[in-house]
Formats: sequence, C-alpha cells, structure tokens
Amino acid sequence: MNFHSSPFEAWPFILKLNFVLSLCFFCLSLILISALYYQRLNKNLKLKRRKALENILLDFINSYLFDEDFDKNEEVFKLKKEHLPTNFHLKIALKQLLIFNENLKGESTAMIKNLFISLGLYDYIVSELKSNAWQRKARALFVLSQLSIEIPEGLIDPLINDKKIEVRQQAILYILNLSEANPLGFLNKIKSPLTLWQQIYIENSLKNAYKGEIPDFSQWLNHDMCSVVAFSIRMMSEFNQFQNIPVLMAFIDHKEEAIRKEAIRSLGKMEHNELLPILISKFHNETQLIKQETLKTIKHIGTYKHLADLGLGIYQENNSVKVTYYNLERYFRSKPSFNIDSIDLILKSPLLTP
Amino acid sequence: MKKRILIVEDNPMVVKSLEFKLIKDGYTVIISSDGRDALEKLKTENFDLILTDLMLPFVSGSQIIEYIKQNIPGMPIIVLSTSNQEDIITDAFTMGVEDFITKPFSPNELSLRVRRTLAQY
Repeated sequence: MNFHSSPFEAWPFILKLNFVLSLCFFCLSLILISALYYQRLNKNLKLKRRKALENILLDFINSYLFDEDFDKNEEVFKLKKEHLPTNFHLKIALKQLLIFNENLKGESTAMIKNLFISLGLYDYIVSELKSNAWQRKARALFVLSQLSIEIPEGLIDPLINDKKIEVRQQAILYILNLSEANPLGFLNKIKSPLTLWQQIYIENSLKNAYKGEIPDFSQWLNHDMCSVVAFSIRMMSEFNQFQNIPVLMAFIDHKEEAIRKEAIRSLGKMEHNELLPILISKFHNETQLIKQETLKTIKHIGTYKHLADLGLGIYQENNSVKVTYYNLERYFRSKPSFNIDSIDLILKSPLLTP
Repeated sequence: MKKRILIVEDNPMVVKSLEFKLIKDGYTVIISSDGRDALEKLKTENFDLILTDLMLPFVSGSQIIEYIKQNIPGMPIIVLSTSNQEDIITDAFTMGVEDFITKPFSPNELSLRVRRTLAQY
C-alpha cells in the first residue's frame, strides 16, 4: 500500500473527470460573475462621472448665459482643459447645449451658438460628418440643424446622396432648416427617389418652419426622378400655384401612372373643372388606380351628370371600380342640393345601382 | 426683504436656469420638482409668486392653480408651459393666472414679466 500517493490518484476515472469538470465550471462561473460585477461597477462609475460632468456643464452654461461678471474666455479655456479632454466628454457637452437650445430662445440662442464654437464643438461635429459611421453623420447633421450652424456646402452635398436613408433625411432637414431663399435646391442634386417620409418632412418644414418665399414647383416637373415630379405636382396644389394649371394638364397623359394620378389629384384639388370631360373621355382606357382617382375627382368637383357620362361601359369594369361608382351614385342622389343641370337627367334615368 | 418665488418644474435644466436667473435678479427661489411637493410647500410656507409648469408628476399644474385660487387667492401665478394650443392658454387665463409663457422661453423676457407681475401685487 502506497501511503505517499495522493488520494486523488486513487479515485476512479469517472470521479476524477467529474471533479475536474466541476472545478472548470466553478472557475468559469467565478470569472463570469466577476466580469458581470466589474462591468456593472464600471457602468455605475461612468454614469456617476457623466452625471458629475452634466452638473458642471449645467452650472457653466447658466453662468455663461446669465452671469455678466463671468469671464467667458478664461472659463471656457479652463472647462475645455479640465473637463472636456475626450470626444466622449464633448458628446456630453453637446447634449447639454442641445437641451438648453431646445428650452431657451431669444438672445440665449445666439450665445449658445457662440459657446458651441468656443468649446471647439464645431470642429468635433465636422469630424463626425466626415466619419464612416452613418449614425455619427446623421447625429452630426441633427445637431447642426438644431443649432442652425452653417457649414460649407461641400460638406453637405455628398450627404444628400448618402447610401443610408437616415443620413439623406437629416441632410434634407438640415438644408430645409437653414435655408433662407432656396430650400429645395437640393432636389436638383438628389440621385435617389424621395421616400414618403422625406416628402412629408419637406412639406411639413415648408409649411411650418420655412419663412421665405415658396419656390415655384414647376421647375422640377422634368426631373429624372418620378418621385420628385409627383411630389412637385402635389405641392402645387398644397401651395395654391394656380399659374401652373396649364402645364399640369399635360401630365394627365404622362406615361407614369403615379404621375398621372398626382396630376389628377392636384388639378381636382385646385377645382379645375375642365379636367373632368378629358378624364371621362379616357376613363375606360385607364388603369384601375386612375379610374379610382377619376371617380374621387368627380365626387369632389363634379356632378351626377359627369358620373352618368361614364355610360354603360361601367358594367365592364372590375368590381372595385363598380362599387366606388355605385357608392358615388348613391352619394349624388342623397345630396340635398343637386346641380340644376343634372336634375332632369336624374329624373329620366333609372338607378344604375342593382 | 427679498420676494419669495416658488418654481414648480420637473425639467432640471429649466429649473437650474430659472433659479440662476431669478437669484441674480435678487429673489429668493424655492424649487419643487413635482406637484405634490409644491402643494406641501404652499400649505406651510408663504410665497410672493408661483411659476409653474402645467404637465407635472403626481399633481398637475392646473390642480395647483385651482388650489391657490381657492386657498391663497391673492397669490399671482405665471404658467410656463410647452403648450402653445390656444384652448390650453385660454383655460389657464380663465382659471385666473396672471401670465402665460411658452417654452422655449427667453430668460430676459421671463425676468421682465416676473418683475411686472410682482409690481402689480
């Protein structure tokens, strides 16, 4: 019997294996728990530092804005040196400035802009614009747009056609927010279709934020992008550009269905009555979408007579068109005030609705 | 004696700016970050003016205005709110507030309005 041999060696193989594996798992769990604990500790520390810096910035910005005895140049220099050594710190400063900018107006806005430049945030933002990460570019554009900071056109132009839609969107917003005379100049430069969201943003900005003169949308009627043409046509009616009605009439024969639809909708919205006889004459040769749009236009600016002019050919149409037609027929018959021209016709004609 | 102003606002940035500006103007400023705390303070302390937001945690700005009008009728109230809807502004004036300032606000303008309101009372 060997008394010097370790008891471990005397163990059966399965027990040894079990012991080794248990030890491994124990060590692994210990490492995992330590890593998690370290991560949490690190996060809390970071948050604490962040909060402290936010408080410093809050006091600093308030003093900068409201304290007349505050030595601005000296204090900005000190703040940069002591509290804003890295891009992470600059990002926190930027966030604080944005919060101030969102809540204050008047003379404070100009001072916030000055502080943005004094703190070296302009250079930081320009470097962000040149980065490869799309989210950094989009964020930089958002900041510039919010603070109304102008940057050279050469920096913004490539972003209008960036491959990421978020960047394109922010670039458009930036131009719209800062432009004083030519808010839609970028439309001549875009190479990708305008999305519905972009169109809504542009329309909203023009209606609510832009203070200058609304451009004449007819200048984009020959644009290469179908979405730009359709958008321009829609904006003509939104901004009551009645002078463009003759030009717009040519677009009801456009080869693109979406453009034809927008032209009909816009002309209808501008209540151009001469549109209806033309639409009725080509109704049965049109696509389903255009037929539906035509019926909507008849409802908006037409009479029962216009509807009846579509004739018996309506029975050849598909069910969805027929249903819209019958609803429209009921709508006209139930209208309390008929157009005087259509009364005679209505009395003579039988109801087409089954 | 310094005039006492109660600020009821939950946005720390706005609170800090208002506090900074009004202290600079020579007032004593007391802060409440929610409506419940504001009501407690109104029950136990005296103020010369109250500057309140409408959207507040626990107790809304409108409830605070109602309380003041019923219990401390002489106290002037200025509302500071993000809302610029006509009906909300009209409602506030119907309740008897002295002034309504919309956010974003100009601190200098606010300072002038506070001075003007206090001068009237």
